Amino acid sequence: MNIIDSSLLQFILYQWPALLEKTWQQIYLVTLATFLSIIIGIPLALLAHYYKRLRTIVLSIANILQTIPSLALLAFLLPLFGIGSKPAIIAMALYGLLPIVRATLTGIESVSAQLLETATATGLTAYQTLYILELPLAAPNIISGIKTSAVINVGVATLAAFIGAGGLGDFIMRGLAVDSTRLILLGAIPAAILALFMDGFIGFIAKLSDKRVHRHSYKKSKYTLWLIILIILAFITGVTFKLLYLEPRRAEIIVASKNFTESMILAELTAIMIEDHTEIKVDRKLNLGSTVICHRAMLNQQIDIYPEYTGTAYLIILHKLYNPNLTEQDIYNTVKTAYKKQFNIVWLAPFGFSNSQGIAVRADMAQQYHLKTISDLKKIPQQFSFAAPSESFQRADGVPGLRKAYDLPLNNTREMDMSLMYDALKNKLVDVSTVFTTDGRIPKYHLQVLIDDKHVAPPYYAAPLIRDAILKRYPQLESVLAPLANILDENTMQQLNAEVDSDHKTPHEVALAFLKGKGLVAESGTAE
Amino acid sequence: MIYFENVSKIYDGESHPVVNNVSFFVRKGEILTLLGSSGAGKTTLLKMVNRLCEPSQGQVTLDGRAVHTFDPIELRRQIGYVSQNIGLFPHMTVEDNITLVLRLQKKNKKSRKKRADELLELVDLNPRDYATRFPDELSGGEQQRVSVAKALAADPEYLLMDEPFAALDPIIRDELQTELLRLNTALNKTILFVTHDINEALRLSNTIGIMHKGKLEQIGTRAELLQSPANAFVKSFMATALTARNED
Repeated sequence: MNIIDSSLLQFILYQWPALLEKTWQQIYLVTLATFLSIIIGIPLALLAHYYKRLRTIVLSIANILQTIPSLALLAFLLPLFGIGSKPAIIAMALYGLLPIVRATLTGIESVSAQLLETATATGLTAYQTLYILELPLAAPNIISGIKTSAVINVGVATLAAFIGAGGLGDFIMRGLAVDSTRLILLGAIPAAILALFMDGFIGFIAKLSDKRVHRHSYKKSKYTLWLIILIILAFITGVTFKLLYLEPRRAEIIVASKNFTESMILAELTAIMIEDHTEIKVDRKLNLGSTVICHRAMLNQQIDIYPEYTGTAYLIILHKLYNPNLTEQDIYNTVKTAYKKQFNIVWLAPFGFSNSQGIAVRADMAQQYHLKTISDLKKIPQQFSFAAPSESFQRADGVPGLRKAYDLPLNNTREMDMSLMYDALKNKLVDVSTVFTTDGRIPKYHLQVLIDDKHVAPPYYAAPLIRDAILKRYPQLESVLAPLANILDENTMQQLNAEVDSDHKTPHEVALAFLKGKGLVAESGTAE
Repeated sequence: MIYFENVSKIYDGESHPVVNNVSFFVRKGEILTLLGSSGAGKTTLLKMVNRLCEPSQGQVTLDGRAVHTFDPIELRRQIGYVSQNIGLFPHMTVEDNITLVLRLQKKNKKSRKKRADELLELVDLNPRDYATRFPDELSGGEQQRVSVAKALAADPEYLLMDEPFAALDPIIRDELQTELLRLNTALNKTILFVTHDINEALRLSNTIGIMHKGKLEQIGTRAELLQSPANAFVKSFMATALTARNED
């Protein structure tokens, strides 16, 4: 197969503007974070040097900060800062502290006692000794620490996409969500190149300040160094200003979604309707990491609309217990009332389909063991492997519910990202797994969903959620979005999903085509 | 004039004083050598002049003014100090090292460069060759010449030298001793010199103080020490010189 084929070229050309934008975002995320690590880390190290008692504390804190998995650190900051660049930069700055603190301390402590005595004997004050002797001698160590910190930050920045901070991680996450290796690499490779570049660039700056290398052209290299530092500082000031003062002035409406195909399609349906029927400027923040992140973002007024499922809201946000006697209407009413009262968020009319978490096996295995319902799983060998996403192990309707209702021990379990399950099933890496019942890969990979005869899983009807404040500000949205009610059924949703996952179309394209087909948007369509 | 008045130094927890009730003075313009083996306390005494070390008892005065009444930073900037280990900053050029104290005194770059060239000439190093070199590009002897130049940068009245030539080979040591004598004939500094090498002491100084375990055993001219040793220790100490040197 010709790797450099025209579709690859088309792909890159199509993604080029997004690639530039996200690389730019990655650069400023990393630069700001590293800058923060430097201006916090070096003074901390100096403090630890002069006040011996602080030394252990400072090193321990920096150590702990780096041991916390970066994702966890991002999660901790969520309630404080919500989503976006700010928490990402703060998390990265904290994360990158240790290399810098350690390197600075090591560098300063390795200045010999003899040199220190010479400094004192010459009549240098403690402060002068620091900047004339200790810091220059510690400089190679410090530079090395900064390099390490920057390179680590490039990696952590890719995780920042999880909380909507942008950057190359967006490609990686979207690639995982829609099952596209090309997208993943489109994010991963530039990130790796960026890391190498940062390493080299910092080394270059360091060399410029080395008198020995530039002894004869020292004036020139000094000017170049100051110029570069000035440019970097101007860049940092500019971006900080933009983040702190300009960012809040965002688009009038922000539509968000979680990081899987269906959620993105539903969000696009909503966004396109608004764009086509009103003058309101809409921004998209698709690919937020989870239900909780979306909910937080709504509460923090950082997003305005996103598609949610009644079952999910009922169980995860409202923490209610499901009992099979409740109808889908009961559940919808409960969440609608509760959300309006507790959160000032309005549930619009559902899209019309339910995407439950179901259990699926390969079609041939279903035939072999005559599997139709989940209860039938008792028939297959007990050691069958079972895959579910992390969320499932916590949710009452997930693994715990299955174990209880069906009396299945489910001993051999794997935790996996939802989007990877279908391939895992197809390739016989697992035997049974949770699936979303409307996923396009079910028919494509010849999988079979087993009937939930004991009704462990509540219904999951999808509907757009909108902040009450936004609805009040733009009351026309109610009628604009009304046509979306009951517009989809399970089969259509599966189809649309399949077009994204298997045919590699974008959610926007698929949503637009669908709406055009229904006559709900003008044929000329909208630009992305 | 440097005057040590009943100076003692004892460290916490130690039973024996490092310096035990020492009194003597260094006349203006003379080179006085403190002689003794390691641990005799001579370096400790030296360091009391520029307050790198403080006496437990007694005081040091410079021209009548007690050293502890000076601001230590200002004091050190007006006293030249040369130690045994190379007191040059490895990341700075020779001229930057030499004029460091002038930079602290906020002298401008042009005058600093001029002074560095002067001083390099003074210690017999060609400025064009040496000014922009780094210390690790110099031999041991060249490094110590630069250290001396550095000590003289602010034209201090006093020079403290702590076994400055001990780490050098005998030929270079001899050269530098000659240099020092030549220099001081012209500059007339008051120099307190510490060494364990008796021949060096005899060569450089007329007045020598012999120290042993913190006590100043005897202080006097070469003749006095040789002909009227105060005790058996001094006598046997001076004897080692005679056998080695074979003259005087």
